[in-house]
Amino acid sequence: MNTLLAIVDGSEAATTIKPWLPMLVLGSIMTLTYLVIAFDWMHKSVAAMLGAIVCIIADLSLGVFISNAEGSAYNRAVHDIIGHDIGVIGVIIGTSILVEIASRSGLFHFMAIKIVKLTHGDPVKLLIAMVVATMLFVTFLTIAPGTMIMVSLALVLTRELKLDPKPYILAIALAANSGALMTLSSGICTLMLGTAGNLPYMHFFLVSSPMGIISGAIVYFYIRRYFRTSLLPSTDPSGLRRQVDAFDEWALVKDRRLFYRSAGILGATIVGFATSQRLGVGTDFVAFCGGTAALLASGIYPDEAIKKVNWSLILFFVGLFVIIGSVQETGLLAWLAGKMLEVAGGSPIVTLQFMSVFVLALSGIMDNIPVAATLIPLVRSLAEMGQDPVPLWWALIITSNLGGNSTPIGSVSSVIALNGLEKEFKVKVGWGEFLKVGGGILVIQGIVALIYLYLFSVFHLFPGAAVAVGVPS
Amino acid sequence: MNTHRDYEPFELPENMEEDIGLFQAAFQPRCDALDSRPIRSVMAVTDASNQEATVRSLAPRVASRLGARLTEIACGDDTARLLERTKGADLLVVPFPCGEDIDALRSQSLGSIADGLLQSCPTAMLCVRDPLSPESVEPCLDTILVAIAHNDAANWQALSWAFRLAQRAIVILEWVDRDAIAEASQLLEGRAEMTSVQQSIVERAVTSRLGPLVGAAQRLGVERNLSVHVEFRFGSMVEQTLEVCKEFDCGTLVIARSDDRQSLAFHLVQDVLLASRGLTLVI
Repeated sequence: MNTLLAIVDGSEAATTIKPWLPMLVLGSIMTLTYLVIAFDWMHKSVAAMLGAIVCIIADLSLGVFISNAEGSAYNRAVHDIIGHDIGVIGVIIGTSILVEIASRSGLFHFMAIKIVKLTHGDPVKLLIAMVVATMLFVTFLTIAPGTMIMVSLALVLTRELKLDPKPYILAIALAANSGALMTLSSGICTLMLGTAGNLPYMHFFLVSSPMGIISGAIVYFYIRRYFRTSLLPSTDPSGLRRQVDAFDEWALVKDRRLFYRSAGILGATIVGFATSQRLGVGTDFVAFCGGTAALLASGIYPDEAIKKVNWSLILFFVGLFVIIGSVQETGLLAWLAGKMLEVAGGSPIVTLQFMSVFVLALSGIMDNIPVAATLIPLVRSLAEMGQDPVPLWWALIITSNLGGNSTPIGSVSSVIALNGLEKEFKVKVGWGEFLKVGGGILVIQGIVALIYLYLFSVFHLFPGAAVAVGVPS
Repeated sequence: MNTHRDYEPFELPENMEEDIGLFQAAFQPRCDALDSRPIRSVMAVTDASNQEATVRSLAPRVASRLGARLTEIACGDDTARLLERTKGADLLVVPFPCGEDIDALRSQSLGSIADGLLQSCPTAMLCVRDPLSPESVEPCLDTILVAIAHNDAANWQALSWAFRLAQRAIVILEWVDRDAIAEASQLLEGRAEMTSVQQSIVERAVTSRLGPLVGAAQRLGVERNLSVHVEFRFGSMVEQTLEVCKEFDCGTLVIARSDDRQSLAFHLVQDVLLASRGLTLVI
């Protein structure tokens, strides 16, 4: 009995087990879980929860966590890890409720039609409108809802105006990832990394928003050139103009009060995010206030909005955080961080560029959320080794979002857009064609991003960077 | 490989159907067919039943709201004669059942005269079911529910009446019979239950079809400073209509009769009237 208790509180195991064994065991559990998720061998939430359970058992058996004055080994292995990341989970839950209500209010649909009307049906102006509106909607609603509204609009609009849907759909899919760079709350990945790095909301306008605008412009110019034959002016511009001007934006407003209230609450929440640090509260608190205000003001039955939060994904995050927290405790990620610094010759800029290229490549074939979640403790380890983490957080935000552009499964926006196109128009965009467009765009965006990050490093432009990132000698 | 479809917590695949339906609605030809014809004559039907006091208190308020002349006639016991005497009126305020206390019939029957009026009277009828206290008559016109299901032309008429009477808000209920769709789906695909995706496809079609009506309602709502809310529901019409009425605190329900008196749609209106305890305007 005493031996069992000793194992559970970690003291027995800690005294007898070699330090490399927990690294190997927990690293293997994490890798296996990622493979199960990547190849769809099991539901991802179940896989993450199962991985977390196995990690906790391994943690206790191998003495990764030891009972001390701060709490029992179990408390440290589970509650402390989840508690550490509760801010991210809180922001996701609060924002989910708010976004669900705002995106269903008709406000963004109304704005989309207004923007389309400004183009008078000109195919090239329409392409600009699609890119701008996608980035705008993703900024406020995150990638999936923003993309879904814009893809739906493009599908119906191109059918109505007898235009080729492909350039517009691909532009939306690829511009959405640029939109995710605009603010802290514009994408899950951005939100996770921004929260983990404690990056102030206003700093996004100085670092990632300009890069978002540049990469959005790259999408526009590339698509315009690639699909130049599909975007030729109409033979009957006045007919198109008449058709577009007749669109009735009021036909899609379900409730005018909800429409105005959603706009107000969404605006107030963004102001809250921007001022949260000054107010001394977390962004999770602001997101919860926004979600609660939306529930109170919308008149929608709360259960309806709450049940639309993807709780399965919340469970996935909880499991993922426990796995990564356990692996971090073994020292494996710190060891990897050390190796990375070694390879980079100790140069902060080379480390930054090395990590950026790695994330750009990996995000195209693997979802950027597990990639970002795993790299968060790695960046923290690098910070403990003396490297300024601020440039690394920004590099991760920019590259993990843009990296998804390279393949049709690289980001949620491409999956939504290509599925919609296939379902509504029976037009399939294959890997080859997507690689020519998305891959081409990513190469340009990637090179620009690396230069952008390099210039920010060299000229010490990262706001809040603790120490200037030195130029390699 | 995992297709990343579920990696963001903010979206469901069904929502795309709804979004497409909404945009299709916006691209329908714009229509402003709401009837703005002035209402000149309101006729209150009195019957010495326990609903009569409500009719007497409600009719002047309705007439004043419409800017119409109010006349009063007794119900009598001959439907044909009553129909003859109501000719020329634009709106009847009438107890339902007519000539009998509601307590005597409750949900079993509307009574022969009320049934006759429902079948044969071409005039719009504001039917008083349960007696209302004088202080609860006034707020009855604050929020009005328009239940929309079948006949397009009648829907426009129903909505026009709602705009004439509503003082604060209008709720438009787009309703689809889940059982009818499930049955059709079963016939076509051999599946008895409707999936959420099938539901969203039906919602898309309804949203798209009713786009011009919703557009016209929202524009007029802005003009007249009236709030217009659109609600979509699946299920039994009676159940859904009464549920939405309660949920949005609607004092009056507006519902359109089908011209085909043998149709299911017409019988559904009868069923709603039987189940309803508040004011129902039948067009």
